[in-house]
Amino acid sequence: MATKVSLINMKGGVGKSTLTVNLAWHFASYGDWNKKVLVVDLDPQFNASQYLLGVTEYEKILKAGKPTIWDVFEQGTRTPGGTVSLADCHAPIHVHRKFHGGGVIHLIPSRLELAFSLKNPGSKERHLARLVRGVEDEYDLILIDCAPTESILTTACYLSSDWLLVPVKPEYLSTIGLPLLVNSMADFHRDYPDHKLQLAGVVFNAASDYYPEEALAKATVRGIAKSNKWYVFTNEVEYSRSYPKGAREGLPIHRTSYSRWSKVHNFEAVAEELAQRVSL
Amino acid sequence: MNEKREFDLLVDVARLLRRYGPEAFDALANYLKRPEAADRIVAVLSASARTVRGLSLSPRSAGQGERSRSGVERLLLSLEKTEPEKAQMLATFYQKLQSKSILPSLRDLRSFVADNGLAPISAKSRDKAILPFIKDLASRPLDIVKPVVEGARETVQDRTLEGWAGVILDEKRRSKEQK
Repeated sequence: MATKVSLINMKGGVGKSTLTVNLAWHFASYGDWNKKVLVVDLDPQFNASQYLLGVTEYEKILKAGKPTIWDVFEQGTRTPGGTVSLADCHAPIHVHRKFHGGGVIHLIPSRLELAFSLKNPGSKERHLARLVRGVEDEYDLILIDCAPTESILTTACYLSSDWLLVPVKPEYLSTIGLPLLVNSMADFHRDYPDHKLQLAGVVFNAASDYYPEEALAKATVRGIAKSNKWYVFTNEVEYSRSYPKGAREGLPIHRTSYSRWSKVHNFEAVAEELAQRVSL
Repeated sequence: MNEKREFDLLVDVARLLRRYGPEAFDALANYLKRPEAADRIVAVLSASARTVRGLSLSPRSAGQGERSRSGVERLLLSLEKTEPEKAQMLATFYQKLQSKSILPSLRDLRSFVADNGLAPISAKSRDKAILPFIKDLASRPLDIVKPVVEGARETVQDRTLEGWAGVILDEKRRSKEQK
């Protein structure tokens, strides 16, 4: 059965998609991991899909009319063209990469139209969890890249996950997303008391040790984490220009051209710490 | 022969005459009139031609890419006699490699080899890496080579901002789907 981890923060631009894709590559192909990884892009901005697929492959999926995360949420909805249905839970899964050691990266891509689902939330929040239950025995790790706003997508991500990983950019505005997440999780636990959802921790992303602004932001985050008994990762994802470059090349940091080994090893340390936290 | 070429030769002869002088020219003309001179000339010119041909095939003058190319072509020709299907598949694959529509850099090639569990590449350039890479593929059974070759995606992929703008602003598709 897969370990299900959602990457979430109520603030956008903290590097959730970049981290999701790099973690997927890491556990599927780096070192001896060779894990079967499913990435679920749950953000209408579809950055994880953009990163993994590129325009050509993404357009192919849309033009072929293959289901995406939108179809997962809209199944059962009546439209003038008929009722939206999913042939089976594997239909929206796109095989992205297979590695010799047995590792894979599969993706449920997202699309802009997912934002329309938020206009008519209905009772769609359980659809994703149902799909995940149908496929989780085929994977070791399911990574869900969440949208940065409170909506049915957030509830869907909580219901589909065992763990939450919270990337935080150590800067003033990014830290404000954290109290929002505290509220969001409290609401969820109240509404779904039987669902076991644990916090893997808060990880600082794009840290550059710029003092004093960054130090202040980190201290604030540590304070919030302490009062909520949240774990803060000892390793931080250091800032590197290779991350945006990797997104452009469709590759993780360990394969991005001219990425520094120190940065590659830094990411490895973060990934290994996550693996320990979630017992992967 | 045409008139232009004959005229060019005459100009070259005139230049040589000026360079070596009329005495050397007369002496050579008398030498060439002797019957044994023709055989001697043919032997000297043949020896020169062999030397030139040898130089053009020597490792110093042939580029690494060129040698790799001829090596792959020889390999595929001999493979065609025993395993025509595999040879055909590898020939197509090789053409794509040559045009860089797949695995355009040495790094891509190394990653591909690692992902597919093939023999690691130690070559320092893409050109040099191709021959051992194809040799490795040729040595493996067809049922293993086929998925590997098919798995090499065309790397000339659009990842541009313009491309994404096209996807996002594709009104035609969006309005069709909203119906």
